Formats: sequence, C-alpha cells, structure tokens
Amino acid sequence: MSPEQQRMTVIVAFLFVPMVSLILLNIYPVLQLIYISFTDFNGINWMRARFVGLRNFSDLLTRDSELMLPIVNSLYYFAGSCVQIVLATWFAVILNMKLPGSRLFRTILFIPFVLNSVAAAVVFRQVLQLDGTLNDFVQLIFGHGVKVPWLDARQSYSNFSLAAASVWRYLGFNLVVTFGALQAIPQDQYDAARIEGANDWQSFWRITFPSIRNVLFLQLALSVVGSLEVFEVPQLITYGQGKTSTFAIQMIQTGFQFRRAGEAAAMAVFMLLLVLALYLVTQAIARRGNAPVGGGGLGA
Amino acid sequence: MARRRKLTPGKLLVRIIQYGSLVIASIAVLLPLWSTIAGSFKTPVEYINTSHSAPPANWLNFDNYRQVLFPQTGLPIGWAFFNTAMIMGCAVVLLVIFGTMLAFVLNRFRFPGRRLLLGTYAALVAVPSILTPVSTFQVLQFLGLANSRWALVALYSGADIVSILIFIQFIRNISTEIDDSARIEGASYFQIFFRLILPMLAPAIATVVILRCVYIYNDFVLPFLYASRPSESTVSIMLYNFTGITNTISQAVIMAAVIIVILPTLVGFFFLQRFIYAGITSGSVKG
Repeated sequence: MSPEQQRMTVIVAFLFVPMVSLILLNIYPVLQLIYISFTDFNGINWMRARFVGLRNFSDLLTRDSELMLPIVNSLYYFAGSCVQIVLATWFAVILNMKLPGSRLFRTILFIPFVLNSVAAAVVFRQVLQLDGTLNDFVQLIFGHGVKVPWLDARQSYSNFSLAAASVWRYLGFNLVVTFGALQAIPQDQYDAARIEGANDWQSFWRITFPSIRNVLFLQLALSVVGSLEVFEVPQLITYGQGKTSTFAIQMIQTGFQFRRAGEAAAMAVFMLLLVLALYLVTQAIARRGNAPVGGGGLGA
Repeated sequence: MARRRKLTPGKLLVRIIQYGSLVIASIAVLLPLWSTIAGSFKTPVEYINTSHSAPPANWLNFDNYRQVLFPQTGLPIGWAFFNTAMIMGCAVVLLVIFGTMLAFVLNRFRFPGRRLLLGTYAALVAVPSILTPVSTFQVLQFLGLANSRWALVALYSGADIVSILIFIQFIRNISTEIDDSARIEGASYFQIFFRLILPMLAPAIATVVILRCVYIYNDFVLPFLYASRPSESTVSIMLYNFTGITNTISQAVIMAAVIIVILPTLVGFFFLQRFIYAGITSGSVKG
C-alpha cells in the first residue's frame, strides 16, 4: 500500500463505527425530535401521525399553567446550585490551606457524589420523612410532636427539600472542581502577599478569587442549564408528584405515559433552544473573559 | 506550609469556624449514611419503634440482608449486579477502543470534514441527553434495541461525548515526533496507534474507565427510560422497583438493599479517589 492509501485506510477504518454511532445516537435523534415536534405522533404508530405545523408549540405557550410550574421549580434548584457553589468554594479554600485532616474531610464531603442515584435518594428521603432524622432534631428543639412534612408534594416548599437533597448529592463535585483550580495557584503569590502584610480575607479577594473566577463562572453556567433539566432527584424522592414536577418529568410523562410524543417533542425542542441560547451566551461571556468553556456535564 | 505563627485569639476563632463548618458538613453527609447502616440491622418492628439514628439492638442481625440476597419471590439482586457488570464491561470496552481511535484520527490526520466533525462534537456537549428520549426511543426501537440491556450498552458507549473530548485532550499532549520517527523506521499507522499511542494513553484510559464505571453503576435515568423490564434490570432499577413496594417490604430490608448497592462503590472510591478527582478536574474544566 502506498502511504496515501494507508492513510485513507486508517481514517476510514477508525472513523467508521464512531461515525455510525454519532449519526444514529446523537445527530439523528435531535433531527427526528424536531420533526416529531411538528406532528401529532403518539409514540407508536407512524401511520396515524399527521403534520400539525406549530400547533404543539402554540399549545405549549398558551396553556401557561403547565409550563409555569416547572419554570418556577427550576428556580428552586438554581438557588440550590448557587448555595452549592458558594459552600463548595468555602470548603475548597479551607481544604487548600492543608490543615491537618483536610484529606479526610475531602473524602467525606465527596461521598454522596459517588453513591448510586437511587440509593442516595432513599438515604436522603429517610432524613426528610415525617419520622425522619431531621424531624428528630426539630422535635428536640421545638418539643415532642412537632413534625414538619418536608416532602409533602402538595406544598411548594417541598421543592426546597428536593433542592437541598440535590446540594447534598452534588456539592462534592463542585468542591473537587474548585479545589483543582485552587491547586493551580502558585504558593509564592500567597507568601508574597503575607510579607506585604495581607490577611486571609485580603488574599482571598486579591489572589484566590481572580484565579478561580472563570471556573466559578463555568460552574454557574452549568448550573443554570442543570436546573432547567432536573429529573432524577424529584423523580426518585417524590416521584415528581404535585408541585414537585419539573420540565423533564412533565416531558417524559407526556411522551411515554400519556402517549403524546408530538407535544413532548415540542417541549424538548423549546427547552433545547433555551439551553442552546444560554450556552451561546456563556460562551460569549467566557470568550471575553478568555476562559475556555467546554466539557462539563459530569454533574448537575 | 510556612513557619508556624503565633495563634492570636482572632486567628483561633477563624480556625474554629473553619473546622466547625467542616465538621457540620461531615455530619450532614455521614448521619444519613449512619442511619441507613443502623436501619439495615434492625428488625421491622424495631425499625418503626426506634429513632432512625439509634443503633440497632443486634449488630449481627443479617435477616434483612438475607431477604435481599435470597428473596422468596422475584429475581435476586445478584442478577441485577450481573446485568450492570455486563453493560458496564461492554460499554467501557467499546468506548475505549472506538474513542481512542477517533481521537487518534482527529488529532493526527488532516482530511476534509475534520473541522466539521470537531465542531459537531463540541456542539453536541451542549445537547443534554435528558431532552431527547422521545426520539432516542424511536431510534432504539428501529435498531431492535429498545427495552434491552443492549440499548444501554449502545448509549453508554456511543452517545458519550465527554469521554471523547478527554481522549482528544490527552492525545494532543503526545508529541507527533514519536509518530514521525516510527514512520521513518517503517511502522504502519496501525502499528503506531496500537504499539505507541494506545499505551501512552493509559492514564487517559484509566480516567475514562473509572469515571464511566462510576457513572454507569450509579445512573438511574437511562435504564429507567430504555431498559426497565425486570429481567433487564440494572442495580438502580432493581432498587427503584424495590422501594416502590413499601407496603409489603419492611423499610429495614430496603436499607439493607441500599447498603448492598453502595458498598462496592464506596470500596472502589476509597482506593481510586485520586483518579476520580483528576478525571473530574480535567473533564469538566479544561474540556
């Protein structure tokens, strides 16, 4: 084989399977999703699917009560993510001081992230149950018989409980990401600042924060997207009932349980456009700040 | 650490707040796990009558574990472990083989359409898989994979963009001079890939394999959507179905099931922590 032939053989041989899977499992589903969103497809029978134009989208935007609940709910999770990022930064900074025991604390705080999703939900549910650990504390403080139904899906505040569950589970992820960024800061910068007489607070805002600003921004951007896509935590803890439904839960119910694939696809396309718009905005901001934004998707 | 400085009262207070917050957070993480362990050793009556955080009367009461491992009816949890292990093994092997090949070609050759491909992968990171189940299900049905373990193998290996980006990022750091000198000595491109590049990618492969295994073992969403038949259950789905029948099964038994499910990951985590941290840092930040 001539070198040129050999080159072509390698390219074709090595790319064949990845290309087939890229097209079948990544690109085609997105295109078909867009197509389905313009039909009244029921998810089973293509013969009975009719083209309905933009009706699914207009239905989606006019029946506002169905769309409003998940949008409001994603705000609970976004608030949770903000708390999560702040806490993770706080702990990452402390762990980076290399105090005795910091390795042990990092291990402990990361544990929830490596737990099986269903197991983690069961573990956290028994904290929030009516006779759970949290209410044991509440009774200790406010007297016997005082119990808060933290997970009552008829109450909006149950979303706070679910957002807390989400923080509990994913805090370790942000912690490790921020900690990684902190370790890249050269120690001599801190030594120099100390000689100049700067205290911990000043060195945090003058040295630490500017160095990890991009990483924090990336985490914030991911959590905006993440809070729009919440599915697992409410599905596992309250089964997404009542006021705890989210966009993804409604979309999957509409598509698979109620057999209205067309409407579900329209919901997904709507959300996809929103996510892409947010992605482009963060890319633009990051480019101005010179931070490469990419990867991700491991947490959230 | 710089030289030890005198601890003023102000500094001491700061230290106390720092340690205090770490201790409180650790309790928040460990207390729920403690109650789960304690609960798994309680008898059903004991579970209802005692506080969640109280220790069990008998630490050697393995009845709940016996009920999970050897149930009277239904499939034993061992079956779910087998399913998960099979899915994990197949998906990870396919991902490593084809992911490294793809990264090699994209990084080492210039050919028409290369930029388009790179751009497509970069763009697909932004498409969350949770939004496409309606159409992904149709594709899986067309391929004859819907509602089977093979659907999960296909999705875990084929639809994973982040791992591919990690491979590309690693291969970029391997100097092309190695390829060039091997070419001069008469090595074919296949030999260069299998004998030179693949061994040098070992750290990237280890990172991807470990992160992927943790993800697959813990994932609930994909099996819930595409493989929820009992005979195809992964560990997550079996536990999920288990928790859904609370009226006939004692909570104490469910706690035992939870412990059985999380034990392998905890053991693995303690030994492989370093890789997991490194993988998360490189996968999420540098991209």
